[in-house]
Amino acid sequence: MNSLLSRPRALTRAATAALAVSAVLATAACASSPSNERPGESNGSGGGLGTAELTIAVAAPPASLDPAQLAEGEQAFIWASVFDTLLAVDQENEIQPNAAESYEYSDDLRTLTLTLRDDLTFTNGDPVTAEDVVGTLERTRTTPSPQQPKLAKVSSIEATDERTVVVNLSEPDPGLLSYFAQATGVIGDPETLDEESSTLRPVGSGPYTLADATVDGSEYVLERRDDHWNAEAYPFKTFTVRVIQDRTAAFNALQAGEIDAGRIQPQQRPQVEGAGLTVHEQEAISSLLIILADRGGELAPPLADLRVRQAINMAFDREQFVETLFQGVGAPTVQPFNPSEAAYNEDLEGTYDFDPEAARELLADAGYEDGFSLTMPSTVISQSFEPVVTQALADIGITIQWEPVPPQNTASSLASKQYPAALWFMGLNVPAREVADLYAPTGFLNPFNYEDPELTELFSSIANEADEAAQAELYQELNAFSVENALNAPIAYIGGLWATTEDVDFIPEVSVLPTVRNFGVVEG
Amino acid sequence: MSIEELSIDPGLAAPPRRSPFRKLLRDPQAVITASLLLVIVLLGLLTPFIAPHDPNEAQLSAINADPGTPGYPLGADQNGRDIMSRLLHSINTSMISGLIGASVALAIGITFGLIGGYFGSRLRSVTEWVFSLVMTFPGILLLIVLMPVTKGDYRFTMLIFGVLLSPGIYRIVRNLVVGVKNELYVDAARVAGLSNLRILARHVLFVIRGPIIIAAAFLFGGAISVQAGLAFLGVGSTLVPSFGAMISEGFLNLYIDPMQFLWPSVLLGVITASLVLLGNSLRDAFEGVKLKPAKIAAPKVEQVAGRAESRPSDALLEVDDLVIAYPTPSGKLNEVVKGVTLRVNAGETVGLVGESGSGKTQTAFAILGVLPAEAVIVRGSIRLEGRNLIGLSERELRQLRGRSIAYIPQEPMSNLDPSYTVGAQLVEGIRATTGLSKREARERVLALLKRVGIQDPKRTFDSYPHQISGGMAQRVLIAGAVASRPKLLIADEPTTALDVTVQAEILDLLRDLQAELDMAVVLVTHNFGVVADICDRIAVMQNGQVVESGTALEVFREPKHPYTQKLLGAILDEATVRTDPPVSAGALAGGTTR
Amino acid sequence: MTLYVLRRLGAGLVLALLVTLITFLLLSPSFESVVRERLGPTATPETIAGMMTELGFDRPILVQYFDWLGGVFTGDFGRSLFTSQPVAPAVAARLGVTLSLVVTALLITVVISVALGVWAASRGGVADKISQILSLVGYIVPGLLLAIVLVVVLAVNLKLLPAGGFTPFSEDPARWAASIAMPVIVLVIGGVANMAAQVRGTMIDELRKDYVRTLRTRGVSTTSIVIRHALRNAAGPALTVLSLEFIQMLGGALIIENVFALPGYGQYAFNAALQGDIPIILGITAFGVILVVVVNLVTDVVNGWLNPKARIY
Repeated sequence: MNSLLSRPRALTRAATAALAVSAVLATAACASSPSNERPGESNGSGGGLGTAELTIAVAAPPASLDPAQLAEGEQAFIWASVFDTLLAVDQENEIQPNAAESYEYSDDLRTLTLTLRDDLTFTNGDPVTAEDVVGTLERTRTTPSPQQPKLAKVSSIEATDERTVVVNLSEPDPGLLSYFAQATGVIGDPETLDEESSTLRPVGSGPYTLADATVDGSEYVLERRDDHWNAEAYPFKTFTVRVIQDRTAAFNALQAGEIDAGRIQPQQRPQVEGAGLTVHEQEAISSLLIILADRGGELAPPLADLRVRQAINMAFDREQFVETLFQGVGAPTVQPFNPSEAAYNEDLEGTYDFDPEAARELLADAGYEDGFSLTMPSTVISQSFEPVVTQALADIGITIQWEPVPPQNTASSLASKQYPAALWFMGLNVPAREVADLYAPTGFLNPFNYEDPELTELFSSIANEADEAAQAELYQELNAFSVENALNAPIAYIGGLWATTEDVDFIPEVSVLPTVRNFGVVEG
Repeated sequence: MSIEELSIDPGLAAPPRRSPFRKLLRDPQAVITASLLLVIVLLGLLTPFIAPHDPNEAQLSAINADPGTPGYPLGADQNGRDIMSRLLHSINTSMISGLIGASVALAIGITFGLIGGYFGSRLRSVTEWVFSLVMTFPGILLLIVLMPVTKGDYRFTMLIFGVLLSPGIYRIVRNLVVGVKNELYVDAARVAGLSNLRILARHVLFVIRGPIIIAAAFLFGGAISVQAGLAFLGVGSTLVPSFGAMISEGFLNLYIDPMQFLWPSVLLGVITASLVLLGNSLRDAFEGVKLKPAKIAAPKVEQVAGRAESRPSDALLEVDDLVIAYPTPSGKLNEVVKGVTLRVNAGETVGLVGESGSGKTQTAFAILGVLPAEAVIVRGSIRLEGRNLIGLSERELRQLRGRSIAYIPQEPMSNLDPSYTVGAQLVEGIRATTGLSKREARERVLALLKRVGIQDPKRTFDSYPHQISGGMAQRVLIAGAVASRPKLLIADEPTTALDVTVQAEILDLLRDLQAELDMAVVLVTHNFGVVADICDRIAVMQNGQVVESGTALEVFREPKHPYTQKLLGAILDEATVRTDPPVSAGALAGGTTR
Repeated sequence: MTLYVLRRLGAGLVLALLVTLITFLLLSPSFESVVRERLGPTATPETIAGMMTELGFDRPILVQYFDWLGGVFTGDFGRSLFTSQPVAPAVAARLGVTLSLVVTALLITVVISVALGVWAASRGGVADKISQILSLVGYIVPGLLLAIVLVVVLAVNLKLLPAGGFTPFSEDPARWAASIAMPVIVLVIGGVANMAAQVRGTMIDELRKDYVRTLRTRGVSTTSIVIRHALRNAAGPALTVLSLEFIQMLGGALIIENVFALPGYGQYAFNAALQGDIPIILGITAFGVILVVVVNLVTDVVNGWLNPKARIY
């Protein structure tokens, strides 16, 4: 996703963008909401359906369009056009109805009842029923796939009538609604799901359908279904997604006018603006942090010491990082959580100011006056930041050894428990998913399964708290705990830049699920 | 391109005369490129002392610093690293890549090339098979699949790359060794009881050293390019400064600071270009200066203005004071034919006799107008039926060739185009001179083939040159020469390359044809026996001059010139059983050193 | 002849089996991490194990290989792990792009190289100097830099040609030509440097041969000697160079495909290797080996036709 901005150095000549996007960064950026406005409102030019066309470039094709196998990230441009999701997240990161016109939790947060709209139809003309939803979710729940673990707490799903779906949970899951607003919540046609064709040409009920002109793996041509219940929200009659892996090639295509919108690097901004394109800035789409995974000190004993972890946090001149490395597109931070979400606490920002002197003293106090050495995986993610990170840590006496990891082992390198720490991106999301990834004992970004009684307590309180405001407070508490205990070393939020032609608008300012609804038509 | 193609230029080379190394010193291209490389290598070696920064020292404050910023003479990159320091360190990365890639390829290629070339065919077919496997294996794939093993270390990568390059070297060495193996001196060495290893080390390695040194230069350059390419694609560790990584970073920053892109590109370009050019110089030095293109044209004439006019003459051919010279490397002309005068009357057979190097073949070629491109006719005239041929254009000469003058070469096989059937070649000649239709020409050729004594003309007509014997090939060439009933036939050692029994038959054929067609024949030969057989008159040549001429009878009976006497002595010596005392050693020595 | 071709193809098949088996063995240790990558950050030990079973990666390696092989014989190369496309059509499509690029480039290379090489070898003098300088320039200017300059000048600034992408010939010949114009230029410049020097060298060699002189003495025209005779004899070695160049271009077009955003074979192979897309890697390897075998076979057969002595059948 944000890979474009966040990797100014380029591993990505070729394939790595694909990987970064498809796999590792799937956490990135997929948070929230497709809608810059409430579902049902029109995005178009008032009355009637828009006739504009839009062509954008992405770095990687979707891995599969089988609902169970969907991945979040840029792939959503395609699958979110082909499928309807049960729920949606709006620009304020609020969960909103979508294909399900209403939803309701039981008091014990263990039963979720969803009521479908009555005007949903598949591309083959069949109406969408509760059975279809149950069929899709049941299949996802039982198929080894990226989406399967998200339904781990679902014990059963049933259709009580044509339009009502009841989801029963073994224990409360604060992330479930956001899952249903994203890839887990798509509605497929159970009759065709198991056919091989559904990986490339699935039957969905979404606003677009894949046209014959589509060339799998390189160009996806999406035609709007004018009879879709929400067709008016989609001003583009044709939406084409071209796969261009090389960033500079994509940049060239943008300048040559072959695509209408694409991501650019901050340093390309003057050039793009000179060429008459409009640049839109997203302030934060992911956070860059050093995952101090081995907090128990199994591989790297120094990391078990709070003072060492704090020292690492103090080694970075975060403001300068953002200003020089990201050319100001982003923001310094000591907390990894989405700044537009409940878990974010501005008061924490002053916790670790840049102070190499103090950091060295902390290290000396901890018994490492001569420093120590730490091995980290050199991945497609870390490569662009390795020089500055190495330097910053060297300045306080910590020597980093980077061990090159092939792109196909990027995720494994973290999960393998071979490395005590790793430089990583975390895509910004809703707090439920961020905390689960970072600090749950089974969290992907917590490979050494670190646990702390206080954390466990907080997790359980959050899960059982139905009141949103109270839950927000608990998230803040958890955040404060993680920052004070220097569980990780966040460095900065990374923003993103989109360049579009004059007549195409790019709407989201904060974080988005990338869909065609990010784009609008500029009037007159 | 493959190393093999680069370093081997089949047949293009003349043997070197001077020591290759001394020659290199005189080649400005070699001196300049070698000095450039030397300077670059020195810079690389001195890097620890002259680089202002560690290549990975990243200062946030220096990000994208302009050239000339204090401490950053060439500026800094987007990570705030000093560009000059990174360039200097990149030199070492390149050089190490080149060294590893080239030495691995050479080590494997030479070892197995020697084994495959020197030892029996079974071992060879095994090595052959393995190397063809290596060649078909997708290299980039292998490099990436093995990344967990190599940990992305460029040195390992280059090691593997060296293995992938080794088939090229293997083939060069194998071919050279197979060529050398059966040469006499190796046989001799084997007879002398040397072990295989010593033969390989002493004789074979010496022969292959030239091509290997040349290949090494290209391999070195190739390995450097590949390392840069892989680094450009982002394979490997980012902490290793390299040109490829710098180009990749600069490419991204192209619109902000094109210099970041330019520096590594220029340096990489200079290094690889220098290696290619140095490789070319090495090839010239070791394999001799390449032959220049030979334009197909009438011979060059030095003084066209002074050329003799045509004039009526009763002789068929009059060669007068003909001087032919070749330029030496220093630019001076070296005369090989020094004022030859020769007269041939219609219908008579003249023997032009001399040892090799006497200028007789040059004279013959001059008459035909087919001297090598370098040759210069300094002066003299060649008159055919009174018309001076010197100075005529290729087009004008072509009108005469085949119709008025024809030619029978010495070595039958090399004078037939291997790619066409015998018949096709003869038909082409006839059609070029007579304008007959294809079918008429074919019939004429078949008749001619029969006339020159070929048993099954049809079969020979459809045969390729390699399918017929030498004697038959010579008959074919004779048929080609007489096809258009020439007035003058120049036969250059027409029997030398043939078996003794066939020689007599060919001479008989020539004699018969001469009588039948009433041709004049100039028989160029070193063999007085042949001359005695069929010649009316004889001209003896030595060192580019005619030293004696006269009727066959006169010359044989009373040879006046000592050289003639010596040549005659030699045939007697050869032809008779030793009843006479041998010719004195002193006389022989004086004559044979030319 | 037929027997010879069949024998060569048979040997090629054995080679293809062996190479794919080696590739399979080399890849096998990474199966699990590939599955993890495919599943993304939410992967759990259970989903990983589940998908390993589903894909059959938990079976013994040789069983998997022969299973794959069995599929190949029925035309089923499997599906990409990362794009779900069936391998055979996906690889064929990529190969089509690269072949249309490489074959066009080679045809142009041959025409220019032969013209230049023959001109240099039969005229000498200035012609020779010009051709040698052109060759040297082709060697020295890195293709990568040339590609970048072309894109920036012709596509981005002048907008004369598309900056990237590929249009199939069948769709629109004019756009097809435009889409491969720049990459072809880059390949041709590199290729001509190599080929023209080769043609020049062998032509010089041929023109100095005895049979050329003999043909001259029979009154055969210069044009016929140069073109029908010398060039035909020089074509054999040139063809060998051409086939090597072809094989190299197949994989070597990688960087060019990247710069021009062409969905080609080299780029596809590189991506698949980086991602660990096992079915694609195997498919690419198999297609690649077969292609190399066929190209070498065609080279030998054509060489035999050109050079009667070299006929091996």
